[in-house]
Amino acid sequence: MAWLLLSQSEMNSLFSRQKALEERSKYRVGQSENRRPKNGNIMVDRRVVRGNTYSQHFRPATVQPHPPEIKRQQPPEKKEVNVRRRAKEKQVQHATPGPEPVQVRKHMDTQTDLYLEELACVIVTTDMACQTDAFLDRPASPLFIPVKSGIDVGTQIEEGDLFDFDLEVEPMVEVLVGKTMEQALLEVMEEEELASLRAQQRKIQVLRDMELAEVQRLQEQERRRCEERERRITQQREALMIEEETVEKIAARAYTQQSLADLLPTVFNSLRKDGYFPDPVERDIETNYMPWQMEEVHKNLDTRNRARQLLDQIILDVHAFFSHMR
Amino acid sequence: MAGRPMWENPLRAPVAYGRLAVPQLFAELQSPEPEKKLRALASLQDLLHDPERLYPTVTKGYVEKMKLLLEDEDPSVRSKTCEVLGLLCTHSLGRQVLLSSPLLSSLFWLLDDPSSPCRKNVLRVLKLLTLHPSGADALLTLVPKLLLKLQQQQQQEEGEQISVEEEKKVEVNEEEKVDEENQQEQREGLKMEQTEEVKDVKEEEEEEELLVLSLISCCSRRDALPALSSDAVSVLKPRLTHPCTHIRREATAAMMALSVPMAGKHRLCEEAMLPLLVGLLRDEDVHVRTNTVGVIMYTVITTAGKLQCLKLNVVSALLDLLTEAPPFKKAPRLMEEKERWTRKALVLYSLRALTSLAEAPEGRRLLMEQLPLLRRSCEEEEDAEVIRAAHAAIEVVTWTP
Repeated sequence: MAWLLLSQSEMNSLFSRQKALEERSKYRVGQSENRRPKNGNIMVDRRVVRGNTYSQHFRPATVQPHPPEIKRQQPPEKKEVNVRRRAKEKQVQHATPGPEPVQVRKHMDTQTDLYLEELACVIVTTDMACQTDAFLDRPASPLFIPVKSGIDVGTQIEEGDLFDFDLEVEPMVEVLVGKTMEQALLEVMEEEELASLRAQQRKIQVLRDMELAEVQRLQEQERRRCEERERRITQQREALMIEEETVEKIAARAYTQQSLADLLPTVFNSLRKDGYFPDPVERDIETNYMPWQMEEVHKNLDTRNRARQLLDQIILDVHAFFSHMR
Repeated sequence: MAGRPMWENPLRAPVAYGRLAVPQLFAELQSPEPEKKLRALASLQDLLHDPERLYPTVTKGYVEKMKLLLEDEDPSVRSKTCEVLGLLCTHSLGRQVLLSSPLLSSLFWLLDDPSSPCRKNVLRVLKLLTLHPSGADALLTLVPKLLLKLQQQQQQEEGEQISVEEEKKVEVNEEEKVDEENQQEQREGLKMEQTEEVKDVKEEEEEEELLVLSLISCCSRRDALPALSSDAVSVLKPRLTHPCTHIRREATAAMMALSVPMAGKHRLCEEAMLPLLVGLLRDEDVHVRTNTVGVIMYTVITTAGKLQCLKLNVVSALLDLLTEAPPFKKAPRLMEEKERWTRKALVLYSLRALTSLAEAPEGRRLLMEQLPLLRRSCEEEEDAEVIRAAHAAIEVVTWTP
């Protein structure tokens, strides 16, 4: 809201004028007396009832009955009548007291209405008691149902509107299944690869074995042939050698035969000359007679020797005996 | 305990988000209670399937912290740790880290663990390690130990068999004496339970044996000498006639790996394995037959092998195998790749074995008679390698000095 900065006078002009009721009496008598200040102070205004209204000093002229009471007690009249009456009463109120009463008479307030009213001080009161039940809980405050305003629009989410499980789950399941299949495929492929590697290994092993066998066979063959060759060569060599030897032997034999042919008689002759062929008689004499002879000689010599020795011994003994005796 | 929220799984420890997941689980692994450790290990197992999680774990050196867990008292903790390590080994980076870490010695030590699932998990980890040749090299030192284990197991089985036979005798006696049906039924019931239990134990043992055998064959393919020096041939001998197909497969594969070096071939000839192997040529399983032909193929390279095999009439068996495999022309697409290759391997090995045998005069004579068969198979085949092998065989057969 826009606030306007207004001066006091302007404020007065914009809003309803704040002024007390300007008393305008019908009789413009003693206006000065009745002059109220333009802007009346309500605190000192007589019309304003201050204080308790129920213990008030009753002033019938000035008392204005309660508007609902008026409405209640009086049948509904036309508005204009009410307004006029109010204006009259006001005038009566604020009018000058009027002429003084004649000596005998007294001014008396009366009611001039059609129907008389009992003007009593007593204010009709009724006693009403109100007491809440001793220990009643505070009842639940009523639900605040605000007043419906606006257009009613309804929405409702049906079963398959927002979220269709089958639709949503499809990609996830696809992914899961795909991953599982992939993993399984990988594993199976790995196994197959391993199996094929093993098979390959075995094939190569078989081929290798075969080739190895062939190689070994050929090696063996070579070895045998080499050995055979060696053996044959050695055999041949030996045969050659033997042949040579035999040839040499034959040659040697021939030669020796030749040389030995006349060797024999010369040899025999020289031997006979040298006496290598002994005469058997001579031999016999030598072998039998001579040893006997020698033995006899020995014996003889022995006895002589012994005799000499004995003699020597005797001589010695005698000599010794005689030397001892001296 | 009952008031746990619904989303908490009592078997898994709660996993932190993002980068903290693995470190937090490792921190939880330090707690002394075995249940908590098991839960944390289970969560780790779930997490480490993802290579993105595995690589930082491996590169930041969390793997060493598992060493303590491998030496834990509770066997379930140990076996779970081995499972987690197995996950690590499925990646090459994990394998490298494991090979260079001190965990390897703990794993070796765990092979003698009393609890069976722990041992199996350790064996699985080791098998994964052999996927890369450097891993197989690192495990070569383990081969003697594994062979020793097999030997012990074999002795155990023999002991069990003897006791089982004794038990059977005792049972027979008891049945003759007792007439009451109830008691018999009870005993039968008990026997069934016992046999079931024994079967379960046997299955587990077989699984272990299988893993050990496959480890041995993997390592022997790199270098067969440690196995040969630990007398592998005699250890593997009884396994060749094992009732279980898988074990036979693995045993023959190991034998094939062993027969590659000359020492192996000589050992095979010495130990008179060839009759056994020729018997295995008529086995039901294709793989067993393929492996056996492979062993023969290697063994007949030596002269001793050739002679022994010719005595055992191997040529006819090999020719049967050749003709049994249908020529590939007829149904190349119907057969699966794998099946094709197994048949192909069989055919190739047989051809090579025949080639080697043809070098012996006796073999050459036999094969000269079968020459049209060879020529026919050569013309009908589509496969380049088979054709080459057949050509080579024909050349050797028709060679004259």
